[in-house]
Amino acid sequence: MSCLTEETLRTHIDGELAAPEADTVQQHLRSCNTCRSRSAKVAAAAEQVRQKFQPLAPEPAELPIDAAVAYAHYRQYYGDEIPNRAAWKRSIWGGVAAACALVLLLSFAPGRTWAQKVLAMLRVQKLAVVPVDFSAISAGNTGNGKLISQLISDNVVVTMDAGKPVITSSLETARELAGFNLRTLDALGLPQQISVSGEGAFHMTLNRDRMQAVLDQAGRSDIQIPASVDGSTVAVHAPRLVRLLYGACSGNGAPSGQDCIEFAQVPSPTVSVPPSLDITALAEAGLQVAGMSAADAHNFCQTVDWSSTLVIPIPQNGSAYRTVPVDGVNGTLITAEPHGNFIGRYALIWIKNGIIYSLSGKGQPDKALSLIGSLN
Amino acid sequence: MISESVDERANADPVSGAQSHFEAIFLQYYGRVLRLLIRLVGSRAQAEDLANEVFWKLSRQSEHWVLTSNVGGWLYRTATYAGIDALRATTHRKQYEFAAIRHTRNHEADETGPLENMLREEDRQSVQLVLRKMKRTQAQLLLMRADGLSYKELAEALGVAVTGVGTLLNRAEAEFRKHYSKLIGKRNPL
Repeated sequence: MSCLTEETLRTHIDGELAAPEADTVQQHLRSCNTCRSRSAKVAAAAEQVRQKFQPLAPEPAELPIDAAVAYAHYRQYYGDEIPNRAAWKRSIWGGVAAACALVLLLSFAPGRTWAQKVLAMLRVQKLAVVPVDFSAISAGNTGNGKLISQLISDNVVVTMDAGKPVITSSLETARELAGFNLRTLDALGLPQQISVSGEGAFHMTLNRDRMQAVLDQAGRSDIQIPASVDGSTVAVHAPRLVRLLYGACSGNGAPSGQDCIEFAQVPSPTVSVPPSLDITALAEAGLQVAGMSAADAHNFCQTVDWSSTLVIPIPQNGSAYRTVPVDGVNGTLITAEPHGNFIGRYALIWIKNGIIYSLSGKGQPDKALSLIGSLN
Repeated sequence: MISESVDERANADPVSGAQSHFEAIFLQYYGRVLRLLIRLVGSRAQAEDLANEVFWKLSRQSEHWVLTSNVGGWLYRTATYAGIDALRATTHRKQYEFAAIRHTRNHEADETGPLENMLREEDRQSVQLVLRKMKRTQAQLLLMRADGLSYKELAEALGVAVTGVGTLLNRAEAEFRKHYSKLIGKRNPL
């Protein structure tokens, strides 16, 4: 048997090895002077620190702890308002979802990822598309995706709950709720359903150590999170989002068939970041996490004005994008190619007068493109 | 997972019972969260305030205990995070006040002499000083280990692989020794 690793030695010293492995290690230690000596050193070093921590142990006078009494005090102080789970679920994701709504509408990617969220927040007036390799985060590596999601959600504090979207069939009602002038696709008649999401706001404080730890854990120690990130608070305010569903759509929102077209519109979210935050360096790290090489990420980030650009990550494989004229401005048409049972998907996105528009659906984009002329 | 029983209850009743579910979590984890915080900040009163804030934060960010079964890990991580923040924000004057309160109370409560208490207090403050200077995740790891969390619990709390916890502990302890020697070493070598 070859010599034991530091990890094995330490785990053994701490009594955390399972019985069969512990026996094997014990046998090896009996016969290997080198490992026995190393083990003694590791144990001594650990013991040294353990002793230093002893004075931190609570004094007997600080114990016992009666959790029931503590809970009564807690209720007295914080009141009885424990939101129900459905509302809680909204509260954590409502703000994020509102801010990232347009990106999520495109959901070509296998899952919502850290890169999507971070990049999506940094947007205001212009569009840029960046093809990335989502498999670097999600496919076959869900543990890392979970770590990253947890890292984000741990640090998000929702300050304005978007609440449940209001569903209506009246354009007038929707206009009043939204607070801005809604566009419609006249060629399709009245929308089958209109959903108005609430206004949301959240902020998150970035923790460089934890972000770096996640990268280390994901085997990407080569990616360095810039020091300026630590402690920075990014605040996002997302206005009301309106989704107009035309054609044969399922009741709950997402386009369900080729005949369903979704026309979403939302005033640009506002994002506040401290002046010291190096957004470009952070975005470079994010793009590398999403599978881009360091050089490519650097080159791409130099072309983007991060203070005013909505960056939409799309998968490298199976999707394409191009600029198309729409509504008097240049829009971006993103398509996911059909394969197998997947009939394809498209999204046409443009920004005009501070409002972000998205026309999306399943299948090919021809029909949607032909409708642009009937925009009211 | 750390909170198997509580989360199984939550999954069995996905819509109602939020209050009792939250209470069950509070009762199950409060003691350990408070002990961790006392260990960290040294003042029970301050630790209680912080613990309440941690549970309040949990109540607002239900994702962690409704949709995952790692509520214990989330609580330990959030508590140590908040505790380190508090430690970093505490002025030296306040630390002396806390020390004086602890000194008086401990002197009344046990048989140890005033000199022993004073030395213990000095040791405690030395460790707190080092923890304030260390990388947060390493300080969290050492604190949780000192409170008796298993490798599995540590891995869940910090979102790392259980197979790497030993190495992380070795590294964190090396960092601790380095900072300790630099900050405290002259008067109390490690």
